[in-house]
Amino acid sequence: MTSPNGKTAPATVVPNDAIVLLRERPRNVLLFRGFGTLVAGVILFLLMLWLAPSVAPEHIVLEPAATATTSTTVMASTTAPTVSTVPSTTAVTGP
Amino acid sequence: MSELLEWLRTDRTTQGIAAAIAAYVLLYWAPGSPLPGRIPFGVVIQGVIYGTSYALLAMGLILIYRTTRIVNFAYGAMGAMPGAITVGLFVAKGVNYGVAIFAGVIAGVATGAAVELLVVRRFANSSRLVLTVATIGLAQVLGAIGLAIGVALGTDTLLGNIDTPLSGSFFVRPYPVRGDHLLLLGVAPVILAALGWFLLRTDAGRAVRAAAENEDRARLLGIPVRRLQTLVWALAGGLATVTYIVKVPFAGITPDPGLSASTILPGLAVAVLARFQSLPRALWAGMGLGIAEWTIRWNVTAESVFDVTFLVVILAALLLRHDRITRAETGETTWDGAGILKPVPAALRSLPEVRWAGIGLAAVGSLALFAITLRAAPSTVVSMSFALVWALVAVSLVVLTGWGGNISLGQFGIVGVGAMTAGELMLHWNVDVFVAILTAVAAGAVVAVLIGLPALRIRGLYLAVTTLAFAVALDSYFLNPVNFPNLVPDRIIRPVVWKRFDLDSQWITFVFCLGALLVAILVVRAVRRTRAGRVVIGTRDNERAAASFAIPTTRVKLQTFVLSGCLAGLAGALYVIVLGGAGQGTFHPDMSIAVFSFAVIGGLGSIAGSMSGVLLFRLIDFVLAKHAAGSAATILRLSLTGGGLLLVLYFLPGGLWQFVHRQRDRYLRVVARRRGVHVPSLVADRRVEVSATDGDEDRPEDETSVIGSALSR
Repeated sequence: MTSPNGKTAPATVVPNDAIVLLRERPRNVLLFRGFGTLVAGVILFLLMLWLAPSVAPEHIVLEPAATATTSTTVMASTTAPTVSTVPSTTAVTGP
Repeated sequence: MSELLEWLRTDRTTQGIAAAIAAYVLLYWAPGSPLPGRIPFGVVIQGVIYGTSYALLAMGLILIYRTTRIVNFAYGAMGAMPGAITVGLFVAKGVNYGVAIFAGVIAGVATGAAVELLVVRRFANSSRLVLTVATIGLAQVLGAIGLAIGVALGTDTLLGNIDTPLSGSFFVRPYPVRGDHLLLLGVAPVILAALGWFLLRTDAGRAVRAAAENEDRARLLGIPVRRLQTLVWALAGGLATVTYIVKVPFAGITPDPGLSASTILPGLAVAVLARFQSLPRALWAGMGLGIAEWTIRWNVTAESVFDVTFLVVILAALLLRHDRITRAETGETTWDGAGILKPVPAALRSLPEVRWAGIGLAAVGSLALFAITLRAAPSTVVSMSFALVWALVAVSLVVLTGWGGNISLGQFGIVGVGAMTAGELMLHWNVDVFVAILTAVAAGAVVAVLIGLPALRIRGLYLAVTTLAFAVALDSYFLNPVNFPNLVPDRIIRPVVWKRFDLDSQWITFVFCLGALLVAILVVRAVRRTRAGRVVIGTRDNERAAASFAIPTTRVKLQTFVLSGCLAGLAGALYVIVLGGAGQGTFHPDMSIAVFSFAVIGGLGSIAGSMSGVLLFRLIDFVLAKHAAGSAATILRLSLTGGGLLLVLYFLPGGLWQFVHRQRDRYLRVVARRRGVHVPSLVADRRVEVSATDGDEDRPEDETSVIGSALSR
């Protein structure tokens, strides 16, 4: 290949030349323009929220038994777990 | 009086305030007045009375600011301590009221002079901001002495109003006006005139103002600067005592000794309105603010709304301030007392005895913590969780003050915002705890930026004022269940993390807090090691030089506020989880002052230092709570924190951690000598005796010879 000034560029580059290796531009391995870590973090965070939610226990309402007319709500307490019985029509279902 | 009239004739701000007062009074009497509700004249009178007391407080703050260029947070305590003598002599010992007042004022003058001689003069060469912080310690020491005087005279449990020979009253609907009120109204103009005469008409006053502008030049001209400063502080002590004595019969004795944020806040608001300069403007602004406060009290049912008024007034006054900062104010206005704590030199870092010493100490510390946690009672574990949250607040202060150079005296206000946000989300929306924490972090960042905006224009001292006002407003207004019954998370149900770890268990909560603290420390350390951290330090040390290197200094300062606010918001979310709720009093403004003091004592220059200071004082509080009670415990705690703060600022500006670093450096020197490694950074700042063979024995040992000798070893 001949350049405009008439000189011919070297056809091959010696691969073992340290200077050449240093001059090689690093390949762009960035994911999402550098925000890959953030995106991965967000995805993991959302997965955590979906698979293992960390919420207050009193909102976890057990389904009423087929034969009984009451449901059981597990309440969190500072002293001991309290079991309260409330009518099925007024079961706590969350906001 | 002629001076006042002259001021009214020439000063536009004074004219504006006077016009507003006149318009208000006229509108009050006008039929169909547009003012909210008809305000009885007695309410206005009360406003004038209380406003005058705020003005008196502000005058003392301005007097000190104009002569020493500091915000004297100990001003209230400087009056309350000798005032306790008056109250004790009159109430408990039955001494004549006039004699008791005279004794109190003399004690006040002596206190002011003693404060200057023993404390202020010791910090003559320090940054003004360091001296400002020293006044916080001073306030606590004076609070302890005042309480001790109360114990000795038997008035330490006395609260509320005092009947004096002037307590006779007449009625101006709907409030009685007492003789004590009239005494206050009579005293204020006299003090204003006397101070004005002193500062403007006497040679001493002129010299004081000149020395405040340029101390060195004043000395060259033969002005006895130090003696004059003692005189001014003695005057300020007397003024503070008079302010306290004339107000205490009707305003009552406050239960908070030391630096009581809510007591000093109105004075600070008035002083900011008067730009810490004009005494007459302080009087008018104080009266205006007092009338506004009592008008709001009369018309608004919400509680403590005037604390929000103070905050708004301070923020607006700072943001709307157009005048240029004076030459004296452009000096050192950032916190540079954090000291420089060097990392382990690179030449020694990889040596096994250095590496293993670090690992060994960390292992011993972790094991000790683990053992203590295992053997601790549940209540102790809860206290330890609180200590971890306080440590997190200290880390946020390292970012804001240690790195950024801005002082926050209301960090627990931002913590409170985080707690309200997270608590509300968990209580009423049953949001996942991690989402609640992230939202609290964001809320903390937003509030920190909003509160910090005025500090972008005027650094250092003013952020301390705005944050203090915010902490008071948050505690008394925003966290008041009367005002926001649905927003204050008074009791939350603690969540179960990942369906497995119930935060109702004290141990799990402790581990959760420990994990959050470790993550926060890792993040902060990572930021410090990057360019972002270096840029923050550079901007603090020399803003103009940083700007000349194309560093966006405003954005850098905002980033500091954001990071600090994030950490405080995180601390708030953890606090509400550990406590199981939050409300009025949970984030008392005095907690912010305490955590700042603890962090300075530990060492604001490093994360470990500030955390160790906070953990040490939480331990002291824990022990005191078990073994002492009442006034004795308070006196001991105030003496330790206040005295500790003063001693550390004077002897170890880098905090107690600086002492730890000295021991580390001593060990590293031994290692370096044994290994034959030359480490200039370890010996450059160390005094090495020059041997007699080096040359002339009489030659004073200069810095070059010290360093040269050290390097040649």
